[in-house]
Amino acid sequence: MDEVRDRVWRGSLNVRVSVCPELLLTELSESQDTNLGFVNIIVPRDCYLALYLPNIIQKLESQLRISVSDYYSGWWFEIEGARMPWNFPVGALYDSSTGLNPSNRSSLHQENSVHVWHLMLRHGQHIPNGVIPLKNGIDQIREFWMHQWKQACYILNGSAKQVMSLSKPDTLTFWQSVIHRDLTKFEPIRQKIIPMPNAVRFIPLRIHVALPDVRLVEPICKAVDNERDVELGDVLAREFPEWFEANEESSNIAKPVIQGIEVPLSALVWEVYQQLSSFDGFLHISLCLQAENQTV
Amino acid sequence: MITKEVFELQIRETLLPALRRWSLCQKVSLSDDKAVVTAVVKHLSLPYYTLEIQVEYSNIYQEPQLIFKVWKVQVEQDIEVKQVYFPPDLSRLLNLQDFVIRLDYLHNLNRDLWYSVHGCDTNSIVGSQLEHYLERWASIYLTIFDPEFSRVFID
Amino acid sequence: MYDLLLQKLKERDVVEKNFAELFEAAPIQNAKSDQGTQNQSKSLRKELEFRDKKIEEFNATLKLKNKDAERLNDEIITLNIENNLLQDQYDKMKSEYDGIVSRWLRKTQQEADTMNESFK
Repeated sequence: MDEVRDRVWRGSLNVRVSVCPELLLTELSESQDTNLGFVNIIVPRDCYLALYLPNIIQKLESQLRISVSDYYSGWWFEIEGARMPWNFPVGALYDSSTGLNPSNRSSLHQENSVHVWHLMLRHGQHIPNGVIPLKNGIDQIREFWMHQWKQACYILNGSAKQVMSLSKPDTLTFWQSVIHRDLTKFEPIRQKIIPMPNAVRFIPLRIHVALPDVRLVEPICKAVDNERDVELGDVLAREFPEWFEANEESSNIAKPVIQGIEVPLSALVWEVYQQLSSFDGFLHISLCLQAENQTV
Repeated sequence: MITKEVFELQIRETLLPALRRWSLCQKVSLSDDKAVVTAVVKHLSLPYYTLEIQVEYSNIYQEPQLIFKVWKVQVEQDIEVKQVYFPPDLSRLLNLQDFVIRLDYLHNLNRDLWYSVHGCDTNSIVGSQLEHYLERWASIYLTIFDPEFSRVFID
Repeated sequence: MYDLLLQKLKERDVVEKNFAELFEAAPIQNAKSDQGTQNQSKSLRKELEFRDKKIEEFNATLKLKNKDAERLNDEIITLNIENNLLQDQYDKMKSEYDGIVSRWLRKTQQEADTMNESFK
């Protein structure tokens, strides 16, 4: 088993999901007991947060003042008061919303430090703008995920044929492998969609920018340009010239974070895609902006 | 398939004038970079609904990308309020035909949610001839909002 | 490059998975809406929701009524001021009127006395 792919698949985050106080029973929200109103769970980086809604809500159900009729519709997550979309891999959301700087984190980490991501769970009639409403539960999530693969396939191959022509058992296994976290079942089907290196049309990339505004950039990126393998630095310098200068790694204001690690600009995009792309078929890159005199 | 340059050219030459001639179209505008067309369009038969339509170029598919929002006027406490509306059944409101329409387009600038009309098969539907490409595209895709849309090209 | 990526992933996991055993691994379940069991806590919650909503409505109504009360209060004050002014005017006019009436009575009495005088 490819160790890098395995680590990517099994990457996970410790998450504390707290319930918005106005959803709690009055006596609980007023009580001094600090063990109430949240759950501590492990969420895989390579997954959708929304898939864990039923599990989270069921654990908290007895503490809520509302009766839960649907475990998906009307629920959303917030980080520090800002709504969080569910339709990107958890890891990508974490990296971009926290502005993760892996080198900082490594140096601050100690043996007894626990790393936790705090999220708040909210519920209401009106979902905030920018969050896709979940009207059809897990089926809708699966359809959305499938559609991401069709898009990725189109970008890679110039047609959605490879995904559309997957056999019914394969299609089912593909999704089940995500639910049951089984890379041995996921990878072979994925390989049916990914083309040979010399047949790659474009590489499916999603770049998450947090400053000055939250933005998603989907650049057109070939694997080979003018008979030269395209490097990560090339794409970033082209899309964000103010932040990246080709061949000037150390003086850059920003650095690319993928799957929670900093990837060198000299890395070949196609290789990085094959190794670090997410379960939705895309390579998600978060841009971490660093202060000017920061040592890497 | 169409290049970005041809797309932007045909927006000005064909699409904008066509939208202006469209009886349902209340307002049409072109973005500053001349790459995105936005139109506010009356609903064919229901007076309380309007559609906000945007046509822009998709780099991924190298085709025009059609997205839209539904606005509904509701009266609350004697005041008319216009709000974005997500109907439980879109097919009751629009002429969906076989198009795949999903509520999954997060607008890059406003970060709000739009319906998107999926264009995987655009090439086979519209044909690859570049001349009059956008005209053919519009006479097919805009029938979602008005089955008789192609009339604007006849007069 | 492969080894570098692997190394970084290992470092990442050291940080991110530290004390992961304190956190619960959550399996993904396909939970459809619960349709069967109408047990007591569910119906109590429904009742609670209903009451919360009623409280909201009452609060809104209360707010409106408070506004109305304020308005009425202002009206009462205005009307009182007007009333006072009118009362003053009335008092003034009444005393003028009384004065006129008593002067007229005196005059009439004088005339009657004069006439009586001439008949003697």
